[in-house]
Amino acid sequence: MPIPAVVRAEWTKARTTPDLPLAMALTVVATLTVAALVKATTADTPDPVRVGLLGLQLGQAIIAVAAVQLVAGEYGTGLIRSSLLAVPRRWPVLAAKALILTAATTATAVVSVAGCVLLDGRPGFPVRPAVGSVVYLGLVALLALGAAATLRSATASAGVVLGLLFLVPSMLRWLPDPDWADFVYRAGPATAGTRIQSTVDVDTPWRGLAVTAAWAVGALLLGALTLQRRDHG
Amino acid sequence: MIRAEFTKFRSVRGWVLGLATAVALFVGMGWLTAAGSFTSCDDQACPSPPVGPEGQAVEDHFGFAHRTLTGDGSLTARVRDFSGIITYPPPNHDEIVDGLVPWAKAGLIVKSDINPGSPYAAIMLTADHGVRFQHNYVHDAAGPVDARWLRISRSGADVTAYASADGRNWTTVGTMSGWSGPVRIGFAIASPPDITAKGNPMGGSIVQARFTQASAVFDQITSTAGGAWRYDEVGADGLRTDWEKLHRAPGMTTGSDTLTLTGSGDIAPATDMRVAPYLAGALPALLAILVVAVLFITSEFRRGLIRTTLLASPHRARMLAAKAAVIGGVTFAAALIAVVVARPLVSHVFRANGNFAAPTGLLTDLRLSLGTAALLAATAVCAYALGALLRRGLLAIVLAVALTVVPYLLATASVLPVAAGEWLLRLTPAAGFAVQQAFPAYEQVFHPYTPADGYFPLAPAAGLAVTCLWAAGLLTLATVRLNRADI
Amino acid sequence: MDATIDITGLRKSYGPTAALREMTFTVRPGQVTGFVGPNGAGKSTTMRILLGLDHPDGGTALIGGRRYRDLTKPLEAVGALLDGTALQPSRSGRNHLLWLAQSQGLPASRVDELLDEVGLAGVARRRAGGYSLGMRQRLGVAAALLGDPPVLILDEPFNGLDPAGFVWMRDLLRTRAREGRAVLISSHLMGELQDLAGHVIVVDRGRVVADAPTRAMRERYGSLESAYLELTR
Repeated sequence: MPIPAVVRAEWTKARTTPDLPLAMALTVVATLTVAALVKATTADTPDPVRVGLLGLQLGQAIIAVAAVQLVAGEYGTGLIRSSLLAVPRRWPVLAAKALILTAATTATAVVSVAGCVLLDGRPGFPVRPAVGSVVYLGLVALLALGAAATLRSATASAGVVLGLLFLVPSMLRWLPDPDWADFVYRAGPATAGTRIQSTVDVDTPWRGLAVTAAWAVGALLLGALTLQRRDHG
Repeated sequence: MIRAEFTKFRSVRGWVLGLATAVALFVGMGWLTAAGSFTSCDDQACPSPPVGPEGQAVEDHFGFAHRTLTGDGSLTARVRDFSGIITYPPPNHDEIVDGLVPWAKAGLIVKSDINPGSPYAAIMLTADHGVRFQHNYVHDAAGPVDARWLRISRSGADVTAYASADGRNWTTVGTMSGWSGPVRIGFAIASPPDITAKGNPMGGSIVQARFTQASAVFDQITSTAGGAWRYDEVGADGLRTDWEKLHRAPGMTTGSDTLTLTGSGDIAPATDMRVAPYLAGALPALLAILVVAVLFITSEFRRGLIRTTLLASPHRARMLAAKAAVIGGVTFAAALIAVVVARPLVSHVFRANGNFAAPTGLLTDLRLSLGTAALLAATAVCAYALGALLRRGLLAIVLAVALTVVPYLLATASVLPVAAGEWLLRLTPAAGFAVQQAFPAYEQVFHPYTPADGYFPLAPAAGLAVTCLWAAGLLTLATVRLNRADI
Repeated sequence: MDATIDITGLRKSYGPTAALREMTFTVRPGQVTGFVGPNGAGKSTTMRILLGLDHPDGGTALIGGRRYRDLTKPLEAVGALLDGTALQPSRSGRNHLLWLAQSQGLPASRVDELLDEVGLAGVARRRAGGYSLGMRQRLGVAAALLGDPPVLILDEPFNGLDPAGFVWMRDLLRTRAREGRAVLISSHLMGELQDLAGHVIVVDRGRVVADAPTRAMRERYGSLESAYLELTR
């Protein structure tokens, strides 16, 4: 079956259960709620742009879990077998899911970031953090998708992805060796990627996003390999 | 019923493994953190800070003009002038300005000897905080704001400090007991560094400290102790700044009826201290525990096992409570095992790498260990209650993470403004992390006491209470829902 | 396309347990072929390998001379019913068939035709999570028939059906066989198969122990049930 047919089928799948649309709406709501709260409680910070985009910290968790559910949900219900009976070459299923997820996440991220910028209200919100945040959110979603295709269990995947996104950054304060902390900071998918939002730490921000992209690509490759190799009976 | 639920728990390999993973993460992360921490001081043992009479690591560096007092006696003086310099302060950091930092202090002190860390009691005029009576590094009491006259006197085992605005009407500011034998009595000058702190995106604060120096001129001196004033720089490290070399050296000068002291440093509890990072693994362990706690209940709903459970024990509220007790108890036990293993191991590795682990005292140690276990247990019950309420594993896990791990992360990673972060740590279940604060925030030392530096807005017990309230509230909601639902 | 299933020397182990040891048989078109054996004999494993879900350790499983994975529009070549309960509960039955149809480039009208044929037209727009076991089974059959395939492979098709459902399923399978399709069904219902199947393959411990016309089995053992009990002792 040609790829467009698979994409179309996956699109139907995605829109006919409430999970993804709900997650998209929740992401926007959560992001903007945090942004509004931060705005209300914050007077003066060294990096107002990053603080303005802080809501995405929570938003990324919701998008990541939706991405996990997109794949792991099929394993949970056994639906994956129907999918693979329809597309026995297998990898196009993952590719189509990745495509649809990227589209959905980008749309969500654009709305969320635009909301943050409007809430921020200051003239001349810089372009790089805004655009970078949209790209970052898409990469996080793909990382979660790849992790779910690799681990095939929703809870395990959600645990690993949320761990990567939230635990790695929060462990930094326990690493007193600055070299270690710096390495983890620059190599973690969340810490490296969100450097794109900073207007203070402006040293090679796009390289940080490239690190996140490497994580996403790695997870997707691992996921594709698992999908291709493993039994799905 | 609790026994039945415990059997259910231990008979699912995944859950036991999940809990074992939590223990392994707890110990492993602590070990990794300690193994990655090195302190080295040019191939020799690093000097550790002095330890005060009450067990805390302390800062004890000041200019001291003293006489020996063998029995009872007193010293009275007026602080005639109090001035100083601050090197390269913000915003431009380009010049040395006249001025005092808020906690620069000059005054009278009784100290058992001139060794750093020895017991003392002092009545000091500070730059911005009026007259203070401080003793044994950690105790600090406010005196009159406008007094310039100070008196310290010893009578038997008691040292009492007084302050006065005019030298005639005296107020007692404080007393410290337990003195015996000969003591040193005299004048002290201290000027802590000028500090600015900014949030570090990697967590914690980046603290910049700049040299300051204070000078005080004392007059109207009355002393019952005889002899000449001897000068010592207590806790001197032998280093001299350019300012001290070229402009004004620390020391004492005596006039006909005046005594001038110039110096830097502080007499205070040490800040920037660390305990061995044996609690570093609590957060990763928490994530594993959250997953297990949620699955403990949602898998029953998903598999329809809940019907069998309710046939066996139709009292639904009791069933939920029994399960909550099991998940809470099991988590507490596992966390306690993790702490008991991690503490000696991590401390050993940490010290072996040349790091100084600040002493905390037995009570604090117990609170850190038991508190962390209680925190993990209470958070597990929160997650379990969310699972019972929502019945969907993934949703409950995400929400549990959003309520506990995310607020803690946002508040401690210096991303959020401090005030907003502190509110998160007051209102969300993450408030319980307050049990992990190893050192109190001392008002008498200027330091960034932010969550990112390990200082929480609530007291340990209050923080833990907030987490427990969340657990109780969520459990109540879950009970209400289950009681009304058709299964 | 040639509607024949060829299983040749199929081997598969799960860890130390051998599920299939040299499984070999052929399913010919124009009749219903019963696939029987005790639990764990290898029926489901054979079907999963045949459908490209599991990888064999050795041997081949071909449909019309081709591996399932090499089929371009697999649902037009093979219809399969594996586990009728494998559904996303929040998606409606119609949408479940819709994405499957789209993945094969089939028109949406085909979905409505089938919903009529399996008797689910009335509930097609309801959440699949609310379906009874019998309704799920019917939906699974509809998915199998979607591409009007010349080969049908059904695992325990009578599961969860009411008496009317039995009659319906029986007629459906007979009709398809009479049309010249190959129909392979696994079942534990010997009485049902005795009337329905023209040919029976009995497997035990991972290999074929009998492969004969139903009539021949009955003549030799008295009934299919006796034959089964005798052969798999």
